[in-house]
Amino acid sequence: MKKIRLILAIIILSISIALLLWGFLPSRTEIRIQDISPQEMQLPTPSSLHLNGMLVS
Amino acid sequence: MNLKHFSSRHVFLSVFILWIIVFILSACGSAVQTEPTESPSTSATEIAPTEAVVVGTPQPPSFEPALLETRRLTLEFPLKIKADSASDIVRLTLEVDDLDNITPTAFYQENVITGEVIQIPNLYETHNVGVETRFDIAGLQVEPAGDVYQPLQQGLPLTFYWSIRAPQVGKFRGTIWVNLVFVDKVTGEESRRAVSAQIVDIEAVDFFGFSVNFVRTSGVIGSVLGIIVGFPFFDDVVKYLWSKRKSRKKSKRK
Repeated sequence: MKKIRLILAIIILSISIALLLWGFLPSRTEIRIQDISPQEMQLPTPSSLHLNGMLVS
Repeated sequence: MNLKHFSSRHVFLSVFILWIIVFILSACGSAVQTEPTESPSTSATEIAPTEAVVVGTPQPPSFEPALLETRRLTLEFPLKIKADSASDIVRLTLEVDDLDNITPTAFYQENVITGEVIQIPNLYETHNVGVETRFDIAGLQVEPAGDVYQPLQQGLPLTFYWSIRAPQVGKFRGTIWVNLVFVDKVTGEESRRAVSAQIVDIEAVDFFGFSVNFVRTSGVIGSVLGIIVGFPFFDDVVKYLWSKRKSRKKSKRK
Protein backbone atom coordinates (compact mmCIF):
# COMPACT_ATOMS: atom_id res chain seq x y z
CA MET A 1 0.00 0.00 0.00
CA LYS A 2 2.81 2.36 0.94
CA LYS A 3 4.64 1.55 -2.27
CA ILE A 4 1.56 2.26 -4.43
CA ARG A 5 1.09 5.57 -2.65
CA LEU A 6 4.73 6.47 -3.25
CA ILE A 7 4.45 5.64 -6.97
CA LEU A 8 1.24 7.66 -7.23
CA ALA A 9 2.87 10.65 -5.52
CA ILE A 10 5.86 10.46 -7.87
CA ILE A 11 3.62 10.29 -10.95
CA ILE A 12 1.47 13.22 -9.82
CA LEU A 13 4.52 15.31 -8.93
CA SER A 14 6.28 14.48 -12.21
CA ILE A 15 3.27 15.50 -14.31
CA SER A 16 2.80 18.65 -12.24
CA ILE A 17 6.47 19.56 -12.66
CA ALA A 18 6.17 19.14 -16.42
CA LEU A 19 3.06 21.36 -16.50
CA LEU A 20 4.69 24.02 -14.31
CA LEU A 21 7.82 23.98 -16.46
CA TRP A 22 5.84 24.49 -19.65
CA GLY A 23 3.62 27.11 -18.08
CA PHE A 24 6.20 29.31 -16.42
CA LEU A 25 9.50 28.96 -18.25
CA PRO A 26 10.25 32.02 -20.39
CA SER A 27 10.17 31.60 -24.13
CA ARG A 28 13.40 31.41 -26.12
CA THR A 29 14.33 34.69 -27.72
CA GLU A 30 16.32 35.52 -30.80
CA ILE A 31 18.65 38.48 -30.92
CA ARG A 32 19.65 40.09 -34.19
CA ILE A 33 22.34 42.69 -34.40
CA GLN A 34 22.89 45.00 -37.33
CA ASP A 35 25.49 47.74 -37.53
CA ILE A 36 24.41 50.94 -39.20
CA SER A 37 27.22 53.04 -40.61
CA PRO A 38 27.07 56.84 -40.97
CA GLN A 39 26.73 56.37 -44.74
CA GLU A 40 23.38 54.71 -44.13
CA MET A 41 22.21 57.57 -41.94
CA GLN A 42 22.57 60.37 -44.43
CA LEU A 43 19.86 62.50 -45.88
CA PRO A 44 17.96 60.63 -48.56
CA THR A 45 19.47 61.08 -51.96
CA PRO A 46 18.29 59.55 -55.25
CA SER A 47 20.93 56.83 -54.82
CA SER A 48 19.74 56.01 -51.30
CA LEU A 49 16.32 55.13 -52.65
CA HIS A 50 17.79 51.98 -54.14
CA LEU A 51 17.46 48.84 -52.05
CA ASN A 52 21.21 48.33 -51.78
CA GLY A 53 21.38 50.93 -49.07
CA MET A 54 18.92 49.12 -46.85
CA LEU A 55 19.59 45.85 -45.15
CA VAL A 56 16.80 43.37 -45.30
CA SER A 57 17.06 40.22 -43.24
CA MET B 1 17.93 0.35 8.67
CA ASN B 2 15.51 -1.36 6.36
CA LEU B 3 16.88 -1.28 2.80
CA LYS B 4 13.44 -1.14 1.16
CA HIS B 5 12.34 1.73 3.38
CA PHE B 6 15.59 3.53 2.78
CA SER B 7 15.28 3.40 -1.01
CA SER B 8 11.68 4.65 -1.15
CA ARG B 9 12.63 7.49 1.10
CA HIS B 10 15.49 8.38 -1.17
CA VAL B 11 13.24 8.33 -4.20
CA PHE B 12 10.70 10.59 -2.57
CA LEU B 13 13.45 12.87 -1.29
CA SER B 14 14.89 13.30 -4.76
CA VAL B 15 11.47 13.97 -6.30
CA PHE B 16 10.64 16.49 -3.59
CA ILE B 17 13.95 18.33 -3.99
CA LEU B 18 13.39 18.37 -7.75
CA TRP B 19 9.96 19.86 -7.23
CA ILE B 20 11.36 22.57 -4.94
CA ILE B 21 14.04 23.45 -7.54
CA VAL B 22 11.46 23.62 -10.31
CA PHE B 23 9.18 25.78 -8.21
CA ILE B 24 12.01 28.23 -7.50
CA LEU B 25 13.03 28.19 -11.18
CA SER B 26 9.46 28.83 -12.22
CA ALA B 27 9.23 31.79 -9.87
CA CYS B 28 12.51 33.16 -11.26
CA GLY B 29 11.46 32.35 -14.79
CA SER B 30 8.55 34.75 -14.79
CA ALA B 31 10.92 37.50 -13.66
CA VAL B 32 13.43 36.63 -16.36
CA GLN B 33 10.71 36.85 -18.95
CA THR B 34 9.97 40.44 -18.19
CA GLU B 35 13.58 41.48 -17.85
CA PRO B 36 15.36 41.80 -21.17
CA THR B 37 18.48 39.69 -21.46
CA GLU B 38 21.66 41.60 -22.07
CA SER B 39 23.98 38.87 -23.27
CA PRO B 40 23.50 38.23 -26.93
CA SER B 41 26.14 35.51 -26.90
CA THR B 42 24.02 32.82 -25.19
CA SER B 43 21.31 32.03 -27.69
CA ALA B 44 21.88 34.88 -29.97
CA THR B 45 21.74 34.78 -33.68
CA GLU B 46 23.99 37.53 -34.79
CA ILE B 47 23.30 38.83 -38.22
CA ALA B 48 26.25 40.74 -39.42
CA PRO B 49 25.77 43.34 -42.10
CA THR B 50 27.86 41.20 -44.43
CA GLU B 51 25.13 38.55 -44.44
CA ALA B 52 22.71 40.88 -46.11
CA VAL B 53 22.46 40.71 -49.84
CA VAL B 54 23.94 43.83 -51.30
CA VAL B 55 23.16 44.30 -54.93
CA GLY B 56 24.85 46.84 -57.12
CA THR B 57 28.16 48.54 -57.55
CA PRO B 58 30.22 49.85 -54.61
CA GLN B 59 29.16 53.31 -53.60
CA PRO B 60 31.59 56.17 -54.04
CA PRO B 61 32.69 58.04 -50.91
CA SER B 62 30.14 60.56 -49.85
CA PHE B 63 30.77 63.87 -48.14
CA GLU B 64 27.15 64.71 -47.63
CA PRO B 65 25.88 65.57 -44.16
CA ALA B 66 25.62 62.46 -42.00
CA LEU B 67 25.11 61.34 -38.41
CA LEU B 68 28.70 61.05 -37.30
CA GLU B 69 28.35 57.90 -35.27
CA THR B 70 27.99 54.23 -35.95
CA ARG B 71 24.79 52.83 -34.56
CA ARG B 72 24.03 49.24 -33.64
CA LEU B 73 20.51 48.03 -34.09
CA THR B 74 19.60 45.15 -31.79
CA LEU B 75 16.32 43.36 -32.19
CA GLU B 76 15.16 40.88 -29.56
CA PHE B 77 11.97 38.89 -30.01
CA PRO B 78 10.55 35.53 -28.83
CA LEU B 79 10.56 32.71 -31.37
CA LYS B 80 7.63 30.99 -29.65
CA ILE B 81 4.94 32.51 -27.51
CA LYS B 82 2.11 30.89 -25.61
CA ALA B 83 -1.26 31.41 -27.21
CA ASP B 84 -3.93 33.23 -25.22
CA SER B 85 -1.45 34.07 -22.51
CA ALA B 86 0.10 37.19 -21.00
CA SER B 87 1.89 39.27 -23.57
CA ASP B 88 5.53 38.94 -24.57
CA ILE B 89 7.93 41.76 -25.31
CA VAL B 90 9.73 42.63 -28.52
CA ARG B 91 12.62 45.03 -27.98
CA LEU B 92 14.50 47.10 -30.50
CA THR B 93 17.52 49.10 -29.40
CA LEU B 94 19.46 51.60 -31.44
CA GLU B 95 22.62 52.13 -29.47
CA VAL B 96 25.86 53.89 -30.27
CA ASP B 97 28.64 51.52 -31.24
CA ASP B 98 31.05 51.26 -28.30
CA LEU B 99 34.06 51.34 -30.58
CA ASP B 100 32.82 54.55 -32.15
CA ASN B 101 35.08 53.68 -35.03
CA ILE B 102 34.24 56.28 -37.56
CA THR B 103 37.37 56.46 -39.57
CA PRO B 104 37.25 58.99 -42.35
CA THR B 105 38.84 57.47 -45.39
CA ALA B 106 39.28 58.58 -48.95
CA PHE B 107 39.53 56.45 -52.05
CA TYR B 108 42.25 57.53 -54.36
CA GLN B 109 43.44 56.08 -57.66
CA GLU B 110 42.60 52.41 -58.01
CA ASN B 111 41.70 51.32 -54.50
CA VAL B 112 44.67 53.00 -52.84
CA ILE B 113 43.34 54.28 -49.55
CA THR B 114 44.92 57.27 -47.98
CA GLY B 115 44.22 58.34 -44.43
CA GLU B 116 42.83 61.78 -44.93
CA VAL B 117 40.59 63.68 -42.58
CA ILE B 118 37.34 64.56 -44.24
CA GLN B 119 35.04 67.15 -42.80
CA ILE B 120 31.61 65.58 -42.91
CA PRO B 121 28.88 68.01 -41.86
CA ASN B 122 27.04 66.81 -38.79
CA LEU B 123 23.35 66.28 -39.46
CA TYR B 124 22.50 66.80 -35.80
CA GLU B 125 23.52 70.45 -36.16
CA THR B 126 21.28 71.18 -39.10
CA HIS B 127 18.37 68.79 -38.59
CA ASN B 128 16.12 67.43 -35.89
CA VAL B 129 16.67 63.70 -36.20
CA GLY B 130 14.19 61.06 -35.10
CA VAL B 131 13.58 57.38 -35.44
CA GLU B 132 10.22 56.05 -36.57
CA THR B 133 9.49 52.37 -36.19
CA ARG B 134 6.54 50.18 -37.03
CA PHE B 135 5.80 46.53 -36.28
CA ASP B 136 3.52 45.01 -38.90
CA ILE B 137 2.34 41.48 -38.19
CA ALA B 138 -1.00 39.96 -39.13
CA GLY B 139 -2.80 37.80 -36.58
CA LEU B 140 -1.05 39.08 -33.46
CA GLN B 141 -2.15 41.86 -31.14
CA VAL B 142 0.64 44.44 -31.08
CA GLU B 143 0.84 47.38 -28.69
CA PRO B 144 1.60 50.09 -29.60
CA ALA B 145 0.19 49.62 -33.07
CA GLY B 146 1.24 51.84 -35.96
CA ASP B 147 4.18 54.21 -36.14
CA VAL B 148 6.22 54.93 -33.03
CA TYR B 149 8.45 57.99 -33.06
CA GLN B 150 11.32 58.94 -30.77
CA PRO B 151 13.77 61.81 -31.20
CA LEU B 152 17.37 60.75 -31.71
CA GLN B 153 20.13 62.57 -29.90
CA GLN B 154 23.83 62.31 -30.56
CA GLY B 155 25.51 59.62 -28.49
CA LEU B 156 22.34 58.49 -26.76
CA PRO B 157 20.68 55.12 -27.27
CA LEU B 158 17.04 54.58 -28.14
CA THR B 159 14.85 51.66 -27.18
CA PHE B 160 11.47 50.66 -28.56
CA TYR B 161 9.22 48.08 -26.91
CA TRP B 162 6.25 46.26 -28.36
CA SER B 163 3.94 44.06 -26.42
CA ILE B 164 2.63 41.13 -28.45
CA ARG B 165 -0.15 38.66 -27.69
CA ALA B 166 -1.46 35.75 -29.72
CA PRO B 167 -5.21 35.10 -29.49
CA GLN B 168 -4.85 31.75 -31.25
CA VAL B 169 -2.28 29.13 -32.20
CA GLY B 170 -0.35 29.55 -35.44
CA LYS B 171 2.71 30.80 -37.22
CA PHE B 172 2.94 34.52 -37.82
CA ARG B 173 5.35 36.51 -39.96
CA GLY B 174 5.83 40.24 -39.68
CA THR B 175 8.21 43.07 -40.41
CA ILE B 176 9.77 45.65 -38.15
CA TRP B 177 10.52 48.83 -40.05
CA VAL B 178 13.05 51.38 -38.88
CA ASN B 179 13.10 54.79 -40.57
CA LEU B 180 15.20 57.84 -39.87
CA VAL B 181 13.28 61.10 -39.99
CA PHE B 182 15.16 64.32 -40.68
CA VAL B 183 13.49 67.69 -40.16
CA ASP B 184 15.43 70.72 -41.33
CA LYS B 185 15.80 73.19 -38.47
CA VAL B 186 15.54 76.18 -40.81
CA THR B 187 13.03 75.22 -43.47
CA GLY B 188 11.13 72.53 -41.57
CA GLU B 189 11.38 70.22 -44.56
CA GLU B 190 10.92 66.59 -43.57
CA SER B 191 12.66 63.68 -45.21
CA ARG B 192 12.82 59.99 -44.36
CA ARG B 193 15.24 57.19 -44.91
CA ALA B 194 14.58 53.51 -44.37
CA VAL B 195 17.39 52.00 -42.34
CA SER B 196 16.22 48.49 -41.67
CA ALA B 197 13.37 46.08 -42.36
CA GLN B 198 13.62 43.02 -40.17
CA ILE B 199 11.41 40.04 -40.94
CA VAL B 200 10.36 38.18 -37.80
CA ASP B 201 8.74 34.77 -37.51
CA ILE B 202 6.81 34.06 -34.32
CA GLU B 203 4.97 30.87 -33.50
CA ALA B 204 2.11 30.77 -31.01
CA VAL B 205 1.73 27.40 -29.27
CA ASP B 206 -0.47 25.75 -26.66
CA PHE B 207 -0.22 22.56 -24.56
CA PHE B 208 -2.10 19.86 -26.50
CA GLY B 209 -5.08 22.17 -26.94
CA PHE B 210 -5.12 23.33 -23.34
CA SER B 211 -4.72 27.01 -22.48
CA VAL B 212 -1.75 28.32 -20.51
CA ASN B 213 -3.86 29.26 -17.50
CA PHE B 214 -5.33 25.76 -17.35
CA VAL B 215 -1.85 24.19 -17.54
CA ARG B 216 -0.45 26.46 -14.81
CA THR B 217 -3.41 25.87 -12.51
CA SER B 218 -3.20 22.11 -13.07
CA GLY B 219 0.52 22.20 -12.29
CA VAL B 220 0.00 23.99 -8.98
CA ILE B 221 -2.95 21.79 -7.94
CA GLY B 222 -1.05 18.65 -8.96
CA SER B 223 1.97 19.68 -6.94
CA VAL B 224 -0.11 20.23 -3.82
CA LEU B 225 -1.87 16.90 -4.37
CA GLY B 226 1.48 15.15 -4.90
CA ILE B 227 2.80 16.51 -1.61
CA ILE B 228 -0.33 15.43 0.25
CA VAL B 229 -0.20 11.92 -1.23
CA GLY B 230 3.51 11.63 -0.52
CA PHE B 231 3.35 13.28 2.90
CA PRO B 232 4.22 10.10 4.91
CA PHE B 233 7.38 9.79 2.87
CA PHE B 234 8.09 13.45 3.44
CA ASP B 235 7.89 12.72 7.17
CA ASP B 236 10.42 9.90 6.71
CA VAL B 237 12.68 12.18 4.72
CA VAL B 238 12.67 14.82 7.45
CA LYS B 239 13.45 12.21 10.10
CA TYR B 240 16.23 10.78 7.93
CA LEU B 241 17.79 14.21 7.40
CA TRP B 242 17.51 14.98 11.11
CA SER B 243 19.28 11.76 12.05
CA LYS B 244 22.00 12.45 9.48
CA ARG B 245 22.57 15.89 10.92
CA LYS B 246 22.76 14.51 14.43
CA SER B 247 25.27 11.86 13.45
CA ARG B 248 27.40 14.48 11.68
CA LYS B 249 27.43 16.65 14.81
CA LYS B 250 28.46 13.67 16.88
CA SER B 251 31.34 12.82 14.53
CA LYS B 252 32.54 16.44 14.64
CA ARG B 253 32.62 16.38 18.46
CA LYS B 254 34.75 13.23 18.38
